[in-house]
Amino acid sequence: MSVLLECKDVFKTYQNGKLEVPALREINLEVQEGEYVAIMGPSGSGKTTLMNIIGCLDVLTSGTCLLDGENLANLTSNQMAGVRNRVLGFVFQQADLLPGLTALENVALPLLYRGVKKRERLEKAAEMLDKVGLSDRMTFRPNQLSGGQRQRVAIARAMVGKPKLLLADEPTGALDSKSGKQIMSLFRQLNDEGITIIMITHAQEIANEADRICYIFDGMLTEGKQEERSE
Amino acid sequence: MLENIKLSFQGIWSHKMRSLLTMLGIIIGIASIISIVSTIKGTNEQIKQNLIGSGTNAVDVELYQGDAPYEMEYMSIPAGVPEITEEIRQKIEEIPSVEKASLYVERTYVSNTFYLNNAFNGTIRGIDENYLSVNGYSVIYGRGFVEKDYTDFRQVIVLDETAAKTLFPGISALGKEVEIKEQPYTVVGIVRLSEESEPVINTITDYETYVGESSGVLFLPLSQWPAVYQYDEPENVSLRATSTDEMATAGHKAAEILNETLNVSSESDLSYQSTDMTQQARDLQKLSNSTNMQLIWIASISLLVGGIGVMNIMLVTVTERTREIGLKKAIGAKDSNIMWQFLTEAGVLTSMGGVIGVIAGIILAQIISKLTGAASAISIPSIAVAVVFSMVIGIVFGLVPAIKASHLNPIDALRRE
Repeated sequence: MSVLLECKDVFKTYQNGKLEVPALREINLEVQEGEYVAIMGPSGSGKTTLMNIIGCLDVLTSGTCLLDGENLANLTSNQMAGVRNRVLGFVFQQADLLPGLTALENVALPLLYRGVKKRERLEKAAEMLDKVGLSDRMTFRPNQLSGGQRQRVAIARAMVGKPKLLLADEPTGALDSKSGKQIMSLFRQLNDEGITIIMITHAQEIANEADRICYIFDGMLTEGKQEERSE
Repeated sequence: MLENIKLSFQGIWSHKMRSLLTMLGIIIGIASIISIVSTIKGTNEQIKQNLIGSGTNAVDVELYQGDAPYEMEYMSIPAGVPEITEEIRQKIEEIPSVEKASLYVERTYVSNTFYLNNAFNGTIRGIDENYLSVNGYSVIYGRGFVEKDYTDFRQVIVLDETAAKTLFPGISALGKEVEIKEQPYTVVGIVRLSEESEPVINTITDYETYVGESSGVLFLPLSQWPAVYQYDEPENVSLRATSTDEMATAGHKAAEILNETLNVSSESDLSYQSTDMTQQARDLQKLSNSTNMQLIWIASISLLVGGIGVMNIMLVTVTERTREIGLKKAIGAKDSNIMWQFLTEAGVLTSMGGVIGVIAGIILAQIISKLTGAASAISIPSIAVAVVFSMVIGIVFGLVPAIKASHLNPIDALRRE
């Protein structure tokens, strides 16, 4: 197993007027290929900030972060877009599908930005929708799908580019428990197939689905159980 | 690119009302420009038609003294002006831009012409066999002139409709005898200018005659001219050019040929000249163009306002779709992808506005022409320019919003609900 993500002494500070607000402090995190990691923490703890940095959506203030061999500290915005497109797949709390497009077209969208030909795009998207169990909903538009179905479309969209790392930010936060369970079993299935997953959540029962749990509190990361930390 | 255009149409369709309002500025601007241009073009074509006459393309080459046509009514037969022979007529017909040439002699405001107590004081024209067809006359009753009329020196005449009405009010003219300078002439035919060539106006005199109270034209075989007037009167040439654009060239070249036959001293100011009506038409068109140019400028302002409207709405759209932009960036869209998306959307939106504007403009031009009687003609190049121009407006005014969208920070964009 090789290391997919390696963060060392990562700091992130936001500038709020003259005030410097530290969001992440001395984060050290190593994720092996094929791992399923949950990052837990209350709101405001910095977990989304951490995900943004790992997800190449934001730049760190100091420290180093290697993702698939790329040093995230020295990438241009276009290079970051490339990393997001090739290495990463995102699942947000909201499915964020484009309302004008069908499920199939939504799933195919990341491949458009990769410059894949239309026919191939649609083929791969169909394959992925089949995998998340929505092969009979391909031509449906987002408003014709249930919340759970929408989230599964979003997962298919995240997975269509065969990313190395799936980043999920509260993937079940907007779903009922039944749909949430479906999503969780889908994640388990994807992980069994070798996809590395980092999931951010504030709910313990969701975090328990992962193989490894990290806690983040006030911008600092610790491994192990929350109970231990709070003591 | 195609994908972007398709996405733009979906975006426009999902906000029908807003898209329509955004396009409205462009629609109004383009519609007013198209209707103005159509009206200008229509007016120009009417000027050309009124002045030059369409269809017949007839040009008169007349003998001039100085700047004025040589009037036989008041002057004696000029020295050194030979008869225009059949050979010369054929030589004129050989000019590439000339289709047919004919000869004529003319008197205007004639007297001593009667049918019973009705006097005729219009124009008498002595013509050769080709004249009627060259000038686009068609026979409506009886016949035109035939070869025998010339060779047998028959005393026959043909009238145009106006002359027939003047001399024979309410009765048929065919077969009746008209007295010209105490000589009897039998009416054998009535002619009329063919529909599409009416009014044919070849000279300013013709124009004045046309707008003034014309009492019509009486045609006489050229062979009968000396019996009524004099021998050896200088003839004029009336020719038909191959096209309206060739009229000036044809007239010019014919005049050159005729001038070579002149046997006059160098001090003489006698010469054959053709009246270049196309030039006069152009002058008039220029005048109407310059007035309407100002209208186009005013209409352009509404296009500018429309463009600003597009920019305004696009900026709102960018703000509204921040989350979508963030998501697209998260799944790998580059800044340039986002910029192109918004540029395409603005371009597609305004192009649609342009197309609708063109259609509205054409309809508007038709309505204006129905209401005011002004002619209108659709100009294809102006339509193409209008559509391309409206697309350019979209791209120019969409640039600022598109750049703004492409520079959005993905995390700020995603944080928005």
